Amino acid sequence: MKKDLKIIFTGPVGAGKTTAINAISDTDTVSTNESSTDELRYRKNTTTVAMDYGIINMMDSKRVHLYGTPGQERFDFMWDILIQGGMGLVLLVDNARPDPLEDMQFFLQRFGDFIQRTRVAIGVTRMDISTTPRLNEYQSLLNDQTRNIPLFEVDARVRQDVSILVQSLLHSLDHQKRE
Amino acid sequence: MAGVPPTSAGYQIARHLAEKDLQAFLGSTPDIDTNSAQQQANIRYDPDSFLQGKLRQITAMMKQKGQAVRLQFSNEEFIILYPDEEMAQINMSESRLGALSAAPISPGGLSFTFCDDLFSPDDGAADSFMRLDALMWKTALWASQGRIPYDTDLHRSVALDRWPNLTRLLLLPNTLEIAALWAEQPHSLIETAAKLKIPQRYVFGFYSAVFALGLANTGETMKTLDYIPIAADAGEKQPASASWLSNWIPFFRSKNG
Repeated sequence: MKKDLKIIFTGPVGAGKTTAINAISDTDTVSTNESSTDELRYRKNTTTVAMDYGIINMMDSKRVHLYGTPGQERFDFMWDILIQGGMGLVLLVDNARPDPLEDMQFFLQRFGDFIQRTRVAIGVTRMDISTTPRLNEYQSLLNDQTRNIPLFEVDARVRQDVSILVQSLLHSLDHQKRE
Repeated sequence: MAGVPPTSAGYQIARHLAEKDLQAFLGSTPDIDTNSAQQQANIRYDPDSFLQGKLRQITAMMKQKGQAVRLQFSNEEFIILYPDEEMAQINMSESRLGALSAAPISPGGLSFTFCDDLFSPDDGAADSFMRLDALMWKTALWASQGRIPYDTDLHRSVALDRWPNLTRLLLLPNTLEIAALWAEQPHSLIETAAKLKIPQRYVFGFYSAVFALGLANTGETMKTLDYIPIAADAGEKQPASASWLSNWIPFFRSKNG
């Protein structure tokens, strides 16, 4: 039986989900972008309205499917659709947003059931734009989690950064406790 | 594109050079017999005798005082540590820093003074800047060379208090695997090497580095993780098994660095 992996990238608008999938995908990514409206247009010209999709080709014709969710909450009906069949979650948090700690908490809670069944790895982006909050502040909030969650500073444009984040998720899945 | 055949002379030379590069951080000590006291002694070192330990002590004082510190070495070389920025300004080459980190520091070989925090990365054109955690991580690896702090219990389970910021630290072979294992299930150093089928020195080196950052937990405060079966989300493909996922990860790593 052909077994492919499906990994979901989520996070708020502008966190770098589309960029991260572009950085690591072996194929041209499929995006469903629309022009940004209201306050968003000052940050980026387009925004994802349905999903992003990329592929990493592995051995024996197997593939890792990368799905990016829309960041805006008004498209959150897509979130539940996209996580179907997912093996794990990559959460990107934009450190330059007004309250990135709250953003992280929001997404961890919103995807809580999925994370309980699988695993999550968190990348904090745009730390070059805003150096605070620092990673230890994110870690303090994660101390309440029952699991030890991978958390790294990530430049979504850099393949190596995204790769380390995804590898940490895959290794966490591989080593999670079994009886 | 076809890769270089693993048996070719070029491949062997490349592999030899890569191993040589790694030796500076992980040494070349073969796996030990844990029943041999002599072999156990050979894989231990005292971090406090090296730059690694001095940095730990000085950094603790610096954070308490909230003031920058200038570490002065014997021949005009220096490192300035900045507490607010959590950065280090280094006015020596990488190889020189490696040499200083790998050798025990002689009495009088290092002095330090508190100074004003004049952090200005753009001004120090001749100096390099490194994150403090990256400096502590690297100096620990150079000092350790695949060894462990002298009072480490090889058979005591180790957990990670939290993941190091591995996108900004020197990544050595199997670092992510060991980190994930210790984040998910505490294992002793010896068990870890056996379970992952990797040289013990890789585990020892990683332990020394996370020890330097204060992230290695061998005590009672480990998170006890409940059993949660690995599974795809409802209604879709069958749950992944560890075996086939294990087969994927090395391939993924080789593709993506």
